[in-house]
Amino acid sequence: MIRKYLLLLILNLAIQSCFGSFVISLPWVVSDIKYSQVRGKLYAVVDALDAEYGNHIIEINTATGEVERSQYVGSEPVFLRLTKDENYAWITLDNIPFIRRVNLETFVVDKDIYLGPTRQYCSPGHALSTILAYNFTVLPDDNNALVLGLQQPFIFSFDAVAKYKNDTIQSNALLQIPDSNYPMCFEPMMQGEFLLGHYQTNFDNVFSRMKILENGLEHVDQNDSTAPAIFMRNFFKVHHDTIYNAEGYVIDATDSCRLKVLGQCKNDIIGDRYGFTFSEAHNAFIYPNLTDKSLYLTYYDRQTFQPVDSVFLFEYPFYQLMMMLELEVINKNCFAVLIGKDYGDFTMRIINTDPNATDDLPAAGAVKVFPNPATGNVSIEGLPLHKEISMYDITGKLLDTFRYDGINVTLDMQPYPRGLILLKITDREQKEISFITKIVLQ
Amino acid sequence: MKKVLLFCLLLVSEYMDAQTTIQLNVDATRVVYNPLYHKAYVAVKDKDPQYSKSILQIDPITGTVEKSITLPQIPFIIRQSHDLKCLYVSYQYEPDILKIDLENFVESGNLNTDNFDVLDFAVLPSDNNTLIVIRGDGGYPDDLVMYKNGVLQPRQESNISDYFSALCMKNDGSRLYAHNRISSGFDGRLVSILDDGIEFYGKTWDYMMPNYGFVKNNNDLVYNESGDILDPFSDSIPKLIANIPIYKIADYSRTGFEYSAIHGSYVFGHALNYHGYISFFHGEHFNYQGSIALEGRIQMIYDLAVVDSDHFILVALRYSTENKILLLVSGKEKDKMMLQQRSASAESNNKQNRSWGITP
Repeated sequence: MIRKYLLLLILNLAIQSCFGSFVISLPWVVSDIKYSQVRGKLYAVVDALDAEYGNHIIEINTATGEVERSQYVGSEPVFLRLTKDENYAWITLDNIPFIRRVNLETFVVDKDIYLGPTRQYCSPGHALSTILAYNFTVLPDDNNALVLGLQQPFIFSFDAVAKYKNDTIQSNALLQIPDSNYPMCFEPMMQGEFLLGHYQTNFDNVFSRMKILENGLEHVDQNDSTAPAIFMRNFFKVHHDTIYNAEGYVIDATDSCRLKVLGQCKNDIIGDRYGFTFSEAHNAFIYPNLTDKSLYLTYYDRQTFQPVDSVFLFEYPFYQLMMMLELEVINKNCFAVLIGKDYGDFTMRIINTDPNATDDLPAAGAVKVFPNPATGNVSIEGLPLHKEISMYDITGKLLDTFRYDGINVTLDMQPYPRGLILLKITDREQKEISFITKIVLQ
Repeated sequence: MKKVLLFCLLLVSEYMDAQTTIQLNVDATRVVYNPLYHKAYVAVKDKDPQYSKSILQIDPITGTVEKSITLPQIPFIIRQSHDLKCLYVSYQYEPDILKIDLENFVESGNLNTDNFDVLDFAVLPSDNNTLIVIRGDGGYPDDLVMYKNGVLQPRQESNISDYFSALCMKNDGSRLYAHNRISSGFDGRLVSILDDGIEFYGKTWDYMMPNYGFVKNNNDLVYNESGDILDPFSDSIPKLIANIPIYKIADYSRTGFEYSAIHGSYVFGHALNYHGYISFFHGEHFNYQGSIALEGRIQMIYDLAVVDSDHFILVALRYSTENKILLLVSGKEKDKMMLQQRSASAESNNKQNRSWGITP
């Protein structure tokens, strides 16, 4: 009982209101999230180490952060995928050879599929049998058809990629891909006719294309390691037969596995940016930027791949090396993210960036920023007395920081690149962000 | 105001987590609790200055050593009969199983296994004088046999080259799960128990239950110190049905483990960053429920017995010591004290690593 009150209290405290957005921090440690536009709910699968909803799928009200329904799904859930009609959620489980389907209408497990043991789909050379499903994808237009990566326990690569349909693994599973490159990530393309898989090691970077047959998969071809996508990580997504990945590369893979790099959603972040997506609501690619203790999302034009807008989500303590694992777009102003320390536990936050969503903005009209657009100086009036002003470019890169004492300041914007600039004003006494705005430099 | 309230609540919560520990400096190796006589029985190794090579009967709450039986050899495995009236003791690399009458705590018999070492054994639920024994030599098994009233039964499996070395009996005594805890195959066998011996019934699959330790039975589900839960008896195909990820909060695969019907939980004694914990996982949903943090620095926990909802006995090794000890812990049931840390293996074995090809 006490724990419940504590959780509610923490949840309450965690609904932080700041600078025209609010953030709901949810306490549960989860491994995957998906937002259903059809149902208007956020779904999450919770790690076994969570005391309240461990090994459950939970349905979350994105306006309040409350769990509306929960269902035990097994120990322990890892990947969550929704069917195209969003009537079902498929879940793979770590360390046990089961996959399970949850009916999102009734919120009960309506399919409990035992995958093994069997030697049929695993490399005979390993002489092992128990198999697990790990990464997987739901094929379009069939809520009961999946492509599964089948994996042996303790061996961190797939033995096989297999098609599951009609409650069984199809007989013509893809047993082996040339050069022993088993894709770690795969997505259907071209209305479910083909499957594109990607695998990367220190030496290889291989895309494989497979034809999806009625009774299994058939290897078609693969690109070689000299393809332009050599540096790409193996985690990718597909939007209208265009693939995009964690490094921001956007690639046309429709004609053959000769991949054609169309462009890159660039920024100054070194390394991978997980938690990326293509948003229909924004008609843009969205990538996270975790810089200077702050998490931003940057929108990239779908044609030119240039940054067109950016939104600040929240700050985090400097001692937390944050990683954003998943991003779900709830609507144009609202996002759900899965974040955590680097390689640590991951928790959810729901962020509403709508400036009208909260009531603790500086009083309307109290802060004036002019002129905007600007060419030279920018004046800001009505700010806290002791403040720090941080200036960012559209990708979240910190350009400059100033400290002022006084309620009005004038900034010389000449040294900074033209385009959209974000200003974040922090009250040094309250240690809170008091205001954030965007100005356009022409 | 909210922060003050939160602080107060945390203080209350912290207070409720309070536990007391009695430490017994005996070089223990195994402990079992007997709810029929409300006693704990402890196997003590040879290095103990007072109770070397003995079985102790202790009060499970106060830790008072009430009686002891000196043994001829170092005890290895202790098991109770189904009716809780007998305790059986095997020795390391020795061909004997001692039977102790627990009502009077006196020796009531000895089974000699014909010069074969006893690697593990199981007692038939319906008959305290029928034992299934893995016999071997030098730690490696040779055969799986049945002794009835001390007489070797004719039906046996003599070529158990897969090194079965851990046994778990089905509750009705009709079948046995024989687990391979030595070789890298980690496979097992199902064994039928007949009137005149045993007979192989089926094979479980490789890597189904990968651990080096012993296995226990909870309602005919077999579980181990790694948190694997196997259903070997309900179907012709044994299924690994769940995994409790104790590895995420334990530094070693070695844990004390026991299913507690009182708590409705799987209970693990384990160490993390040189601190000891008793952690609870839901009996049906297998998720973490909370821990009791132990006092002092602990390097490893070897065995655990649940006495009642608030009392536990552990065989533990303190940090930088050689001899194991007994810890009698009195702590509130799963006070939801969330662990603030994860083991190194938890940090390297997670979704984002594995899905993106970063191997631990």
